[in-house]
Amino acid sequence: MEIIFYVLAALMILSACGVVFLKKPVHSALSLLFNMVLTAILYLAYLKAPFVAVVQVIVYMGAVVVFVLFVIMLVDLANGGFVEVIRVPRFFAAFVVAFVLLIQFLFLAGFIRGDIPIVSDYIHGDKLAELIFTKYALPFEVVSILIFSAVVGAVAMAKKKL
Amino acid sequence: MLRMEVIYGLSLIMFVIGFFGILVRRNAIVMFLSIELMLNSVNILFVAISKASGALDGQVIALFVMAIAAGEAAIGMAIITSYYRKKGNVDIDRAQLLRW
Amino acid sequence: MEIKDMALLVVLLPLVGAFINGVFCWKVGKKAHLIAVPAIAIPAVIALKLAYMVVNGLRFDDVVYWWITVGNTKIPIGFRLDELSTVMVVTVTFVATWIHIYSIGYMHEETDRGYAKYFSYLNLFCFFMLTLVLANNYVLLFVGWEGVGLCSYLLIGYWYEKTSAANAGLKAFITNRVGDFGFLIGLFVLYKVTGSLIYKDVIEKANLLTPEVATIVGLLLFSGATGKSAQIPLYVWLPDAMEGPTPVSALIHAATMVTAGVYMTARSSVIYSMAPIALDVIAVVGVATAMFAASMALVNNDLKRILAYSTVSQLGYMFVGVGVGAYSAGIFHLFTHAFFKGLLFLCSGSVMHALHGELDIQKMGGLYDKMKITALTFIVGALAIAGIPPLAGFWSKDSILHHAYVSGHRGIWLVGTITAGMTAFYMFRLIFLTFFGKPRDKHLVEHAHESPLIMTIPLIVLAIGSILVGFAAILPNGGFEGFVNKALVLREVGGHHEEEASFLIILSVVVALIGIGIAYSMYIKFAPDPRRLSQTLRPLYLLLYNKYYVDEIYFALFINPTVEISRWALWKFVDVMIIDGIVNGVANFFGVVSSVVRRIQTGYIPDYGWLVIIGVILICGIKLIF
Repeated sequence: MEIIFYVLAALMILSACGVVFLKKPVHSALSLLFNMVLTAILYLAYLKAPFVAVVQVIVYMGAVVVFVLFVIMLVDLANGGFVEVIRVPRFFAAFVVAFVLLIQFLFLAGFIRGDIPIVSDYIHGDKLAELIFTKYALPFEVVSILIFSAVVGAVAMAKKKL
Repeated sequence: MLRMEVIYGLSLIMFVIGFFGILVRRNAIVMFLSIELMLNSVNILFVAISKASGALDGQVIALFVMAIAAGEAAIGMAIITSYYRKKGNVDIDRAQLLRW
Repeated sequence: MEIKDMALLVVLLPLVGAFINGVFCWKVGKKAHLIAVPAIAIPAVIALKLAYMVVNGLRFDDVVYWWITVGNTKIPIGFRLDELSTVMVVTVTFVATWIHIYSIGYMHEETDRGYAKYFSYLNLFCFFMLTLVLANNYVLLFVGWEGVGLCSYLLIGYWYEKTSAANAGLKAFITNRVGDFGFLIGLFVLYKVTGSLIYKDVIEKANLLTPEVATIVGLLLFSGATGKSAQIPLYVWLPDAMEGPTPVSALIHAATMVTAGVYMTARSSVIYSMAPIALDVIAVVGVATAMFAASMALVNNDLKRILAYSTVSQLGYMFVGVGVGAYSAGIFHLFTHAFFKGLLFLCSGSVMHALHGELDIQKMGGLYDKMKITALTFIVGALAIAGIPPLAGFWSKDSILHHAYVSGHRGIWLVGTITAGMTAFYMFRLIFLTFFGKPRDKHLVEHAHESPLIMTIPLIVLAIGSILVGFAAILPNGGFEGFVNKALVLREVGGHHEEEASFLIILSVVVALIGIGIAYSMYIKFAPDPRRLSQTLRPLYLLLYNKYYVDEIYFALFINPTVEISRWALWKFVDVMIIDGIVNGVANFFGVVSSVVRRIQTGYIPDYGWLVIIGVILICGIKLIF
């Protein structure tokens, strides 16, 4: 099982790199889609969180990535005369910064302890629902308002004239 | 047994890759995808900690993060399309509307 | 209806009227009086009912609403209805009602909005005046006190496009501030000593006042009264206040507001009863003012200003009454004065109306044939003020002089009697110059005409009032003064010898008749010719004509130094250099700093990304190190 996990993790990192390093936005988006699938598998198989996995699939893959693909389709980059060139100094600077951050995070990892049991109960939606509608009722409602206003804002911005 | 540190390492590597993408890419859509990647990496950490500690709050917060990511996607894409309509490209380096 | 509701209604109806006319002035326009007149006429009727109840022994002193409650300090909005406030309420509402009606005719040439504004202010004034007289504590009295001052300011400056009117309003307001400063301090001292400003509590705890404190409080309160009631040294605003519309002069600057000081001193009788020195000061100031103002009225040529000086003079009489301990006599004179002085002002307004705003009596003459009602009512008013029996002024003025005499203030009595003669002289000088003789400006007088009925009816009503109200003195149960005395706290006057002083009455009537006679011989028979007389007595004439140069002295002593200090020290230095310097300095500081700091804010989105990650690295670094 652990071998499979490491393969999974390697694929996730690889697809993440794909998001960043692939030249065409469409490829980046598809790479992200692949990363999301792997994440959902991780949730389901190793973290025993089927509800989160399902939401991950529906929201991220079904909505967000598809949405981005639509926008990529609408935004015709080839005709915009936009050829993305990554400048080498910036690349290295970013690499250095990201590396420093990674090292720091790895050091901070020393603070994190704990094991995740491979064999454990699945956490289904009902238990989460209990928590969401009791302890997190207010944030839940606030998030609903936030999304609603985001939708209104998106419509307002996307329309040429209101 | 799955060590917590391993999940943590995976999550933060993905996070740093996402951040790296934001720093080097000039295409607004790809930057946006990088942000989603970072959010996803944080979600993994939330769910993992929830599992390790036995409290369900982490999973709930992961759900909230997803919801907010969806809202962010709507707004972000709307900004990108309207920017594209105005300027004809999505090159962040040439975006100077905030400049004083 | 409960007495409390009635009192509330009396106070609040004018406020409602003021609100409607003020807020909807563009809507009501020339119909403003349809709201304003009932808003004061209904309280007038209710006031009569209240007076009837009070005469039958009912009294009322209660809290409507606790206004301020801080620790032990409790200030209510409450009303006190006793004999004193009843007299005031009846006077105010009655005179105000007729002046409102008169204003319909007088102000009809104003613009729509100006008309509504005028009636709104007038109603607002009534509200504050009724608050003042009905209040059951000094703080609410002070609210009304300041409120009437505000309305006075607004109405004096009603024609605010005219510089003189605007300045006159300002002068009235600022002069009153000087007096109110002392008034407020007096209230603070009173509160410090008695722990309450409610009349009832003050009367109960008055024994806590030592004579010294009572004197200080009394004098401080009186300093407020000198401002509001135009006594020396703060009388200067009242003649200038004649810039306002004439009904305003009649209502505010003759009948009601200026008498607030007298009312207040009478209301504070409990304090003054312990402060004989303060009372003496009041009496002396009062009689000096009466004399001083009357002498200025002798030579003035401005129709309304003569009446204004006459008001100052009569207010002086009221303070003489208060000062010699005969509060009720002062209040009685206030009561009668409201009728005849209101009448005189309204008549002068009628004359102005006929002559298109002309006020110089040297240009008038022979108006009797043109406007009989105005002239006759004016003569009634003048006879009343001169103290010819049986008109109103005779009873009240005589009562004051009588009290002055019997209480031992012989000097005050003497000056007061001479002043009574002067009063008769200048009033009849006014009448002879205005209504009799040959018109000196034919063109002006030719087109004169009697005022419309809506203006003459109030004249007639007030004239009848001026004739009749004096008889209140001889009503059963001690008459008017006995009635008012029930509400007062009087000092036990040791050895109050009620000597039969009927010769006083005869003397004052004779003096008044002499005054009238001199006026007749000078201005009808020209013997001696007033012009030649003014030449022979030129220095005295000029001194009186220039109002003793008091305005000039005040300018030189107080106003110009204040203005200069304000201009050079406060404006040019403190304001421009320090205040502006600080404000501009702060702005410039941030401007300079920002011009450097804003370079961080490049506006390039990647730069923000860099800054964020550098911040994250720094925070993580701190976490790692510590």
